Amino acid sequence: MESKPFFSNLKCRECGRLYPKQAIHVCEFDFGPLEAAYDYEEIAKSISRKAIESRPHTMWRYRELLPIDNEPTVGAQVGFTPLVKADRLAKVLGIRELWIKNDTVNYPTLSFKDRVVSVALSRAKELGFQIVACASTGNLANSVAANAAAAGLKSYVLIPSDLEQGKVLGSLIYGTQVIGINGAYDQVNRLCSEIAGKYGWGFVNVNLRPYYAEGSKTMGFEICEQLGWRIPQHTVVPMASGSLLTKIHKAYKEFSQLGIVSDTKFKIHGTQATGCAPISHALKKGTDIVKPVPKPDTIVKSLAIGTPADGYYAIHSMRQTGGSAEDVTDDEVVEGIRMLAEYAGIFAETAGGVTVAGAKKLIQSGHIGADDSAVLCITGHGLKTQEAIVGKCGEARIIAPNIREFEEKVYAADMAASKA
Amino acid sequence: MRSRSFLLLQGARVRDNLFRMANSQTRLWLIFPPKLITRPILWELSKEFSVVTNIRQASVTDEVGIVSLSLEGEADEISRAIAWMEGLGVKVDPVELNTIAS
Repeated sequence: MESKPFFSNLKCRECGRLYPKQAIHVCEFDFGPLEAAYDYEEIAKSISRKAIESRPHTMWRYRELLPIDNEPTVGAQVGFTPLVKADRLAKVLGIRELWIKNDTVNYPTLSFKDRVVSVALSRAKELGFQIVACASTGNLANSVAANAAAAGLKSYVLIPSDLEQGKVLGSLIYGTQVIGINGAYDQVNRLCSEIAGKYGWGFVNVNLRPYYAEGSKTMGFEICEQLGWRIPQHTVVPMASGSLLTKIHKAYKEFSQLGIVSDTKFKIHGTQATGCAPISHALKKGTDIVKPVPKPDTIVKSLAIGTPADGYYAIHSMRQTGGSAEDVTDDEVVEGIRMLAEYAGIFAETAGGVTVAGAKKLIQSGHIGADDSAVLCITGHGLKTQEAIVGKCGEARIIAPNIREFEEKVYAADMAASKA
Repeated sequence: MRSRSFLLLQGARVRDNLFRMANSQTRLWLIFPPKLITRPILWELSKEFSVVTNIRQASVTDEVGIVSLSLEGEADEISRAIAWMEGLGVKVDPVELNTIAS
């Protein structure tokens, strides 16, 4: 594919000021976040359903709508995960039609973060960075470490020093430099900002954030294409910073603006864990001021962001599309994980439980109509958060090594149970 | 031998660089709980510490006050100013809010 200047500028989301396409992320005037802006007239000349369909099954088939200047150099195989029609789960949740966007099998680290990281690192290489970094407690760290290793970039992963060893291993294995920082969350948070500003490293979720965040749009593009080039009536998205929700909204608007899909009505709903639901609470209250949660208390660590950077914008996306927000307790999260596994055969991490349980509530309350069609965004694999469900999905039955015991304790018991 | 004016110029550059090294700028979001919303904390801050405060955005309701602030001064002085605000109960985040992702 010939490279054209589809990606034109960075633009402040608050005041609209334009900035050059560098490693900057906030507006100098109002500290508003910068995001990628495009030349849609130029893109319209290049992109079409036919053109997209002719390309490899990866997230880069939507290349014109991603913020890099040349061909991608990191994560060439990422994306185009399955969109699964989940009829049995639909029946249990009480909805006519249900689809699961299954990023539990995203390549290479089994979470949607591979989408954002491959865009951030491809751009980092274009900008000449030799070292890339992130501060993360889980999926992002794994993805940066893996994708940087594959691309031959040196990487640093900053973590709070008390992070569980299991989570650290998932990054260490790729040969990344893991630095544990002693201190309270807020101190660690500010230090990471300082390091990002000081050493000229490409911090994927700080100075490369405008590029990084755009990678999330590919989840929305894929959903439209896999549904047969249409925007779903309802999309349910888990919210941490709120970025994924806003980018799925942006993806639908871009496809619609470019005429790739019809301009149909759609609603985007957000879900959070009750122990850390600042965005959901603000939307329910009818305000767009997100009140911070000082001490998140939930098993859903991947969504436990007390001061969500894109909360304000997520609220606007939900409100603009007529969507709603819902939050679910930790018990409901576990039930959600189990339902997704038992009725759709997909094992998701805790954020997936939040999405399923949140969708259940939204259907029950009528915010998602029983006769409607919905897509649930499932963002990471269950193997990453096994501790959340230990002891909550039953136990193996132990028998002696003879057929009589099997017949008595298993076969006969199960037959009796199925007749009852 | 180098001229006096050249040496003076060099001296000014050295001073300039020292000033730059000592000075740093931090961009923050401050989140005020309801009990602190009416207290003139930024005025107190500029009296108490040698830092330059520069507000870029602010939004206040009866439940929360949110201010985006640039702080300029010596790095240690900035750290002390932040610690003082936190001691009062103000939540002080970097402008990115969350640099630590999941």
